[in-house]
Amino acid sequence: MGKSLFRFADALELAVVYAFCFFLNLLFNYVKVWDFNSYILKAFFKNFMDYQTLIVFFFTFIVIVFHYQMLYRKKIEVYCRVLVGDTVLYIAIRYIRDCLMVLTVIYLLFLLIHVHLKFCLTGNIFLVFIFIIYILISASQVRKYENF
Amino acid sequence: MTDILRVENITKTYKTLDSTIFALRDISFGIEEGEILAIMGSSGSGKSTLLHILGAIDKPDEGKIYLNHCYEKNYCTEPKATEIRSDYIGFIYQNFNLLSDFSVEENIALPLILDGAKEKDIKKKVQKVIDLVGLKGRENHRPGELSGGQQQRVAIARALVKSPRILLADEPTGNLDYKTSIEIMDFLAKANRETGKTMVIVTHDPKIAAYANRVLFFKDGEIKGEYALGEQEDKLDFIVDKWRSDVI
Amino acid sequence: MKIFKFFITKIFLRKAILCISMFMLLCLANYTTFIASRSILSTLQGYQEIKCMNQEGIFIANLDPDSNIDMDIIGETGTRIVYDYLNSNHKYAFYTDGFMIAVPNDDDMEISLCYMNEGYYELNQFDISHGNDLFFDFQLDKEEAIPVLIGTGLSKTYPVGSTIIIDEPVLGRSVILKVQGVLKQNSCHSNFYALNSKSYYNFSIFMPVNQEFIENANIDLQLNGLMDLIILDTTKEKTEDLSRFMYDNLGLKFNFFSQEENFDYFNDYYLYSLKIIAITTLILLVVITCISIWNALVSIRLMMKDFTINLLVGLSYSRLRRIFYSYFGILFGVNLLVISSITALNRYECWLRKDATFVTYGLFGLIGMDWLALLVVLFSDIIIGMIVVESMLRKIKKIPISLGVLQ
Repeated sequence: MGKSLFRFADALELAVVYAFCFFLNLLFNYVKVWDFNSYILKAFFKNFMDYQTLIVFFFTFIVIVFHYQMLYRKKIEVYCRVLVGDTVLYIAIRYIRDCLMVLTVIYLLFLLIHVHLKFCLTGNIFLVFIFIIYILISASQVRKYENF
Repeated sequence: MTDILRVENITKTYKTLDSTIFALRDISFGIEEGEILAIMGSSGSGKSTLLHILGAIDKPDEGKIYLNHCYEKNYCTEPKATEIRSDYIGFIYQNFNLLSDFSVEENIALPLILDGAKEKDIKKKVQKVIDLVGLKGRENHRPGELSGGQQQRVAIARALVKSPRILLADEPTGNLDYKTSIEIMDFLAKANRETGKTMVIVTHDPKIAAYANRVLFFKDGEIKGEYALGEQEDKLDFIVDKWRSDVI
Repeated sequence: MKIFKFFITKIFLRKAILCISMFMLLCLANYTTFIASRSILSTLQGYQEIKCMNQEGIFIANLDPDSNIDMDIIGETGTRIVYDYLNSNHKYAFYTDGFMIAVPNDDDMEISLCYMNEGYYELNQFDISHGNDLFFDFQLDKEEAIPVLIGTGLSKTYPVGSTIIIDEPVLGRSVILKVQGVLKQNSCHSNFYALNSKSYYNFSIFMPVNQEFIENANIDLQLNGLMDLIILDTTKEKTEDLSRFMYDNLGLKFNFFSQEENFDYFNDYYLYSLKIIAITTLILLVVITCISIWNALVSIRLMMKDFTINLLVGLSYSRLRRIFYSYFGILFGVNLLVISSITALNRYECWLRKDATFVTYGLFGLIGMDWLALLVVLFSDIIIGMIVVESMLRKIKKIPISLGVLQ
């Protein structure tokens, strides 16, 4: 545990949530290069491909839910840490660090998959930016639980 | 006086991987209508478990519960349990258990809203209990803006708003200072005298127990002593003595 | 109702992020189901249409994918010879469309001309809302009006019995058309090799063609007519002869497929695609449902104290169940409204673009197929709703009130 707010289960949950989003994007990229010999399949998947970015963005909302519930559950812990000498700034920095670590691991995993499947390597970059924004916003909310 | 609530041979166990823990062992007693019953004991003696069973929010493994002399087979089973909680029981907790996003007025009105009462009736009844507990002017405050004593008054008001016949209080003064505790208990005692409401108070504080008509002492899930508090000159000393002999 | 309103405003919407994320997940689920249902329904509808034509003794033409159309080789003579051969040796169904002309009408649409002979007309049994069927034994001279059927969109401007004067694009002169009947609203034609692709006849004119008409028409009509040719009451050997004849005179290889070959093609091609669509949709729905359950359980975890206190002061589990179902009912209702609106908007855009072959009439802008697809979405919503709500209640019931309150 150390100084982190994250337990193994929390880190795993976050990893799964990130993986879902990256996987969805990977699926879209796979369908893009798929050689359809069926007009029907092409027409069907086009309905999703046309809105790829929007659908993936909608999906990333589950990451917001994770951060939200994570901080809500940890509010007492944050308060107790502050009580025993920790500061909100360090707690927030550690929170960002831990989230980024999980994000990096999952991103690298999917980068390898992209390399293996010979897909465009920059396909997931926009997701990384979105997730970093979410991490920064949720880290700024740690301050809310300073005074329980 | 008659028993409004009676329990017979109540047993509650919690099973772990290696052992069975008896929270309550074969408990039998009655609660007279209009009395204040104090339940005392050390931590883990089963007081709160008993209170939860009396309040139909936990189910005993064995035993019978009589309400108004009638055996209620489904006392702790839904949907009967909800009916009983709604019509007979009011709860007061040590940590108040108020909804932090709701105002004082909304917290108190909650049981009436759930009952489907009309807006006019709700306003009337809520204002009445707010005046009763002395929180006039605080209707729109959130619990976070109130002191501990004020929050407990809100909890009491919520418990009283539907005029339940039995009030169950689990360490109602546990989070309060001495002066506020006495204020709260004075208020509850007054409510008991004026309305004849039956009260069951779980406490480990002899000063609080001294307000009761009768005290039960619990140890390891069993009743170790039962005493009427009517004629003793110094109730506090009496309670402390019995505590030492029955509990410790 | 009051309690439900109370829960929505005071409990659910206080944690708006959870509501929004649930709404988005359900949006994705509904969109997926809607698109899949519509694709499948559209394809099956097209298949039903083609089934009428795909009977025993009928062979349907298909230009070989390796064939190149070389107008230097083809020429008007070539097509005329082929049609003479057809008229002498075969009974055939002729159809072609896509010829656009300007005809004044209330909606300012360009009109699509559809040419078909009696064989094709009888094969398809078009539904007429009012008026009479087409007849084909007319004389193609300058005086006599050609009987036509028109789409619903034109019927206000040109009622049954009225005449339309047009510059006929394939005859190259002005002709008088007489409105014989009006087609049923949203009558359509499916592309044989893309059954889910539909052309609607709301702003079309059905031109009857006979032997005389074809002979007098330009090469555009004659050549296009061969692309979707259907040979009736024939055998494999005869169609092979025809194919050879057409190749010798036009330099184009046409394949003729029998009923059995077409059914095999459908099973291999379409059925396989439909299966992929159904399986993909099912997998997506299962995944989205699982994530919705996770989202719902997170909501329960965060709102456990609120629910428990309500249970403590008189809320029953059955009422809580009703509240949850109502809450999800609202989410699904809003979702359905959003999907209906987007679909109606897409259909309306065809009107704005004046795209005559795609404009449709429907209740609130949606046609029958859209409503059916929405019904499928509603059905899937009910299942998803039941799964999520029962999971939520199971979680709440698992935690005793005494613990929930102490949390």
